Amino acid sequence: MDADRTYLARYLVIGVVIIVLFALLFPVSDGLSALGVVRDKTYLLILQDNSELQNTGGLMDCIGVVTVHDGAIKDLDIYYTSAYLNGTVKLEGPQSISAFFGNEHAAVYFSNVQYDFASFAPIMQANFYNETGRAVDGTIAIDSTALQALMNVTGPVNASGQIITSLNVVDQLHYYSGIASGERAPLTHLLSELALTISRTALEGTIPQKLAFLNVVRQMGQEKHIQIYLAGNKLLQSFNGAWERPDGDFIYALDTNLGSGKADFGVDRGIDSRVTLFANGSSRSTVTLRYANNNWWDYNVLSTIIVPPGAQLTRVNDTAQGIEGPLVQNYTDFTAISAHLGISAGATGTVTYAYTLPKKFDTGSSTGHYNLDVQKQAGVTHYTLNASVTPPAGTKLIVSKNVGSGTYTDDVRVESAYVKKF
Amino acid sequence: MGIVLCCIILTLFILNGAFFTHPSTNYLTYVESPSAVHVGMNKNATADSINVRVNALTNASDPATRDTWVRYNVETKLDNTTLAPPQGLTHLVANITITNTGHSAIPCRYTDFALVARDGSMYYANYAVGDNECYKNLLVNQTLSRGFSDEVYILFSVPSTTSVTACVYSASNSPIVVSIA
Repeated sequence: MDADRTYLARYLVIGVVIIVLFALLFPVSDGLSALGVVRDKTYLLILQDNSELQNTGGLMDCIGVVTVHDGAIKDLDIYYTSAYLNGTVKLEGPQSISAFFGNEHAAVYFSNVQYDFASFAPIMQANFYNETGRAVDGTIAIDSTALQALMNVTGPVNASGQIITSLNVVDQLHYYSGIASGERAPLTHLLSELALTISRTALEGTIPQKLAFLNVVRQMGQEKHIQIYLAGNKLLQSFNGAWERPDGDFIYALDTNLGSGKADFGVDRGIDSRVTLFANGSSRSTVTLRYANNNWWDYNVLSTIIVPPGAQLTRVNDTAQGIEGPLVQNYTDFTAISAHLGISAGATGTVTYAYTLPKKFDTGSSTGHYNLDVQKQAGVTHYTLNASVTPPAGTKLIVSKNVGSGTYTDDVRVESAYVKKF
Repeated sequence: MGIVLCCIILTLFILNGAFFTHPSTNYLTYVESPSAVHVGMNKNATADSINVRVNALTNASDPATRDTWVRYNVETKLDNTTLAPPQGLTHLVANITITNTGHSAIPCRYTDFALVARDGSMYYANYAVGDNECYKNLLVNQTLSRGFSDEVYILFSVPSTTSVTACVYSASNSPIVVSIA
């Protein structure tokens, strides 16, 4: 009997270890593959300047082609996007710009108009191949905020004979972009030096530095400042920037800077959401998007919110200094509402949408719950959310998570539950 | 078995970033050169044919500073840069007159200017604007023509709690250190 128990315990332990190792191996093999351990991997590298927001994160100032071998950079070429890719492409996939402005084509470097990076990346890879003949294994996008975070780990860098830190790197890149023309050699040279330094520090730095890098990459990936599209790689799937279609209510706010330059670091964004629930599971929502333009020049933006399918717009108000729209686009799994807003220097502008949603939410005779998923656009550094939930008549809220005001750097879920009043 | 469990637990902690924190660094520590030239504000100092005079160091939110910056940012046709600092930071603008006292053109970059804080931390320049002559010489060509003398406005980003004590021009063989009153 004792011998039987011993054998059983031994095989149980072995079984657990095998399951754990099996669970670990797949992610590990995906990770090693992405780092070019099995075979060299070549990626399209996009620097998205999120001080000039575009739907997938920011203006594609510079692009690069990087080949990795055993986790280290083997080859790196960086180009000023508009000088290297000067073709025009058809804007594919669900997006609002074509419908709003009536133009179906754009320069490649302005083509990141899809609603998320996961939709844009395979299109960009195809366009890149069509224009350059260069095939890549995947696409990596890094924005200015991620660059600053990575440089907080490297510390100051002596690049091209000058000191670059996380505090001045963005302005320095803008300066070198502005003083040169054509291929912007000083800019691309500086970026190459920074990329190689960051890579070198990640590989050869101290243990705390390496772990700090890992943490930064994880956090920046979660906040969509680093996005990685690598088809078939399960480990990195959560980094591809895809927006989610939850079953419940959701708001996904997207902004496109319309020719206002490097304005978005000087714009404070906010979302006010007031939801009234009804006993039959339907709801009425009032969403206000706020833009506080702290810059000394005017700000023009194509402001889009994506909400559940079946949304019926009932009212639009604005306090912007100019508005065109709104445009409502109905898709099978979402509704997109867009407007072109102008906000004067130093002013705050808002646009408010009131809409109803069909029966959608979990209700019962005496209890129910309601969740609202607010998804953050890639590139946006922070936003404030003021959320309120009014439960059906005759009930009261007993759970209210993230109801009220908060400032967030990531997606947030508002959760509520209610019971019948007695 | 115990080793496997330890490895799993360690990996989970590492992925959580809870272990081995690395302090973020965004500044250098100032080390005074024995040959440094010291001077106060509104005073001239020369090293390697470059004469520097720091006329003012003001917060970018100051209306007069802002108006001057806006005028020259527009004039230089560089990208507009926001004067609204991120939370926790302050934007300071140094108004500096730079003169080429030599007999030929000399290299000069605005990026070689830095602010030094009371605790010895050193913050290098972000961005710069000036009039057309300043733009062509200092900002685009990074070279001062013979006889050049003009004002430049240099933007710095420093932590809000920083107390700045000096402005340093570090490219000359004898760095010029201007004490900020």
